[in-house]
Amino acid sequence: MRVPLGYKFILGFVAVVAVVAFAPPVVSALGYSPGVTQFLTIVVALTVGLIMGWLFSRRFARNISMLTESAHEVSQGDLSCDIQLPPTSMPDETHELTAAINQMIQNLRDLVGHIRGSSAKLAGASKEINGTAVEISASTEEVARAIEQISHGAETQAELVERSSRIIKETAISIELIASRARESSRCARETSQTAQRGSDLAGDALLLMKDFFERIETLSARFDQLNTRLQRVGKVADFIGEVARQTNLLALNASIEAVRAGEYGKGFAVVADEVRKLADSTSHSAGEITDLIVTLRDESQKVHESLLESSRTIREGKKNVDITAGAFAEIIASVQETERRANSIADLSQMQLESSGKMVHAVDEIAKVADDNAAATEEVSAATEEQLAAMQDMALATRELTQLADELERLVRRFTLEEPVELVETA
Amino acid sequence: MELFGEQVAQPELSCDQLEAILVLLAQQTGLPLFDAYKESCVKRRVVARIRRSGCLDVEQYLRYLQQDAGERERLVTSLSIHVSQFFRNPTLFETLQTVVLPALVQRTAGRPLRIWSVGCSAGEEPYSLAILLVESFGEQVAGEQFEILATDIDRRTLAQAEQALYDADPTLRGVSAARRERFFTEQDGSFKLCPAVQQLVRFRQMDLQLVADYPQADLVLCRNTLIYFNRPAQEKILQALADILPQDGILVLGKSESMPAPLRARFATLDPTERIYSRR
Ligand SMILES: C[S@@+](CC[C@H](N)C(=O)[O-])C[C@H]1O[C@@H](n2cnc3c(N)ncnc32)[C@H](O)[C@@H]1O
Repeated sequence: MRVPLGYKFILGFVAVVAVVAFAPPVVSALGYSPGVTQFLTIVVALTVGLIMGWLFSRRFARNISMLTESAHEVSQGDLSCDIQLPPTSMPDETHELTAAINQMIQNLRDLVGHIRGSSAKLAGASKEINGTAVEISASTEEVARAIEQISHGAETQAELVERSSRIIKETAISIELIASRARESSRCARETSQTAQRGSDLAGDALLLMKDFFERIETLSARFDQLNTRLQRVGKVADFIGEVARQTNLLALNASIEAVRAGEYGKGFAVVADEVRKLADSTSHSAGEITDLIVTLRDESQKVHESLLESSRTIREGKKNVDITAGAFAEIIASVQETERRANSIADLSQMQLESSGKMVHAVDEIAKVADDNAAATEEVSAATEEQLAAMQDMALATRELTQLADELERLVRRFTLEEPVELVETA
Repeated sequence: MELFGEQVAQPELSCDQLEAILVLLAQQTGLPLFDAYKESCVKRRVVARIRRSGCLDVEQYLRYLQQDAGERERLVTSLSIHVSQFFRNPTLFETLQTVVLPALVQRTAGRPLRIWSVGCSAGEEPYSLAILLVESFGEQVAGEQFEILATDIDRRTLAQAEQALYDADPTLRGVSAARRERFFTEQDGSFKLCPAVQQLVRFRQMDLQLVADYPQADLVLCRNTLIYFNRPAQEKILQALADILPQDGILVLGKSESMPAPLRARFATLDPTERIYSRR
């Protein structure tokens, strides 16, 4: 049965008043002097009052001191024990207070248990995150190294492409040079061939002229022969004239002798005969001169003939050379034409080469672009990796701080002792 | 994306919206427009930033960006990636130390050799180079014969570079124990570069897009910075680099970067693996 404290006090007070009221008759019944009786009455009333007061307050004080002690312990952080008041048939407010404090202690215990559990878990989790961050950092660094490797590949590729592009361009330039040289030599060959053709034509002309010349020499020789015979005939005529003149002279001599024999009558005749002899003499003389002239003429014409023959021989020699020259010209023309053909085909080929090297340059440029793109992409990844690395380092730092916080919290709540192992409460 | 059971929306970002955000950013920060960068990269970064800002849609984010200078700064920072390490790609640094630097030193006898690290991040690259120089030539000569200039667009990362204080992992992963011993001192968990090496490098804020500001240099390291730029911008930057390099000057690109075809007329490949080029 619950009896409130106030009632308990009133009850005690009523009991003391009752004792004071009922004691005098009881004490006077003992028959002492009135003074003694009065004294005894006071003593009895006091004693009974004290006894009853002690009886009432003893339990109350004990309960209060137990509560105080417990509150002190709680303030020291000891949450291990509940307050246990002795059992009573008449519980009062102290019992209610005890129950409330016990509830409070229990709540505190739960709370601290919670905090302790959570901070332990927090520490664990942040350590784990830290570990993960470090791990991710490590693997990110590995990724970074792999990217560096790839990038090295890309760089080498770019380098090679650049070099081959340069080489191809150089080759293209030399091909162009070759083409232009080939075209030049083709032109030279054509010019040479034209010149040679002209030379060959000239040689042909010369040969024709020579043929003409030989034919003329031939007729000339025939004419010379004719001339010779005619001269001989003239010589013979001259000789005959000379003979006639000599005989005429002789006859004139005979006639003049006859004229002398005829004397005076032959005088005129002698003059005529003398005139005839003179005429015959000059005729003979002229005939001699003619013969001499003819001889000289024959000699001269012989010489002319011979020198003609001589030059004809020389010219024949020359004709051989002209023939050779004409042959050489023909050969030159043939080989120069071949040269031209070849030079043309070189020019054509190098034109083709030029075209394909243009295509090659294009292809290499394309490759270069791809290589460049690759390099750019690798760079991008690398930038992202670097970012990730930075983020991970930040995260590792943050989780280190978090761990410290959790440890601090843990240290703070460790001041509270919990008797029983606290069941960890899930933080969901 | 699932995070603790909660659905996180991927904000959709159209080209116009991206443009609007970038224009706003350029107007308010005075930085040049980010149109030289690869659009996919920029977009990813902006989307990530919007998601983290907690804004529900792009319009809201635009308003937020307009009002909040802090967010603008965060967006700018998130637009650049600062991943770097000391002696990143160790073989490159070996080649630089054994082949390239000796050759350059011989060529430029009589005047200091100018080295330029473009997009230097928090100084990992120029400091690595400075360490090489001190190793090869000693502190005295390294200081007299070489000028290392390091530039970046991001002031925050440059401030970090001036501090020269680094985490062991992953930044110092490529630093051998001997080098760590010789050039670094430990300061509660982090490592501080020794002043002798630090003073060899000058840092300056510079935007790579402003080609007129380029300094003269004999050796340019431009690694893992061009990957964020689009092709036209890359070509413009590389042309400008070719202009400031002397004949036979050296350019080094990042390991995953490649020389765009039009630029091959100006740069001859010296080492395709390490991406070392020389000005024709
Ligand atoms: C990934 S880091 C490279 C770091 C170092 N070069 C390496 O290879 O380890 C790229 C750097 O470029 C810088 N950057 C981005 N855009 C830039 C610009 N327009 N001008 C100058 N630097 C820029 C960024 O701030 C960042 O620090």
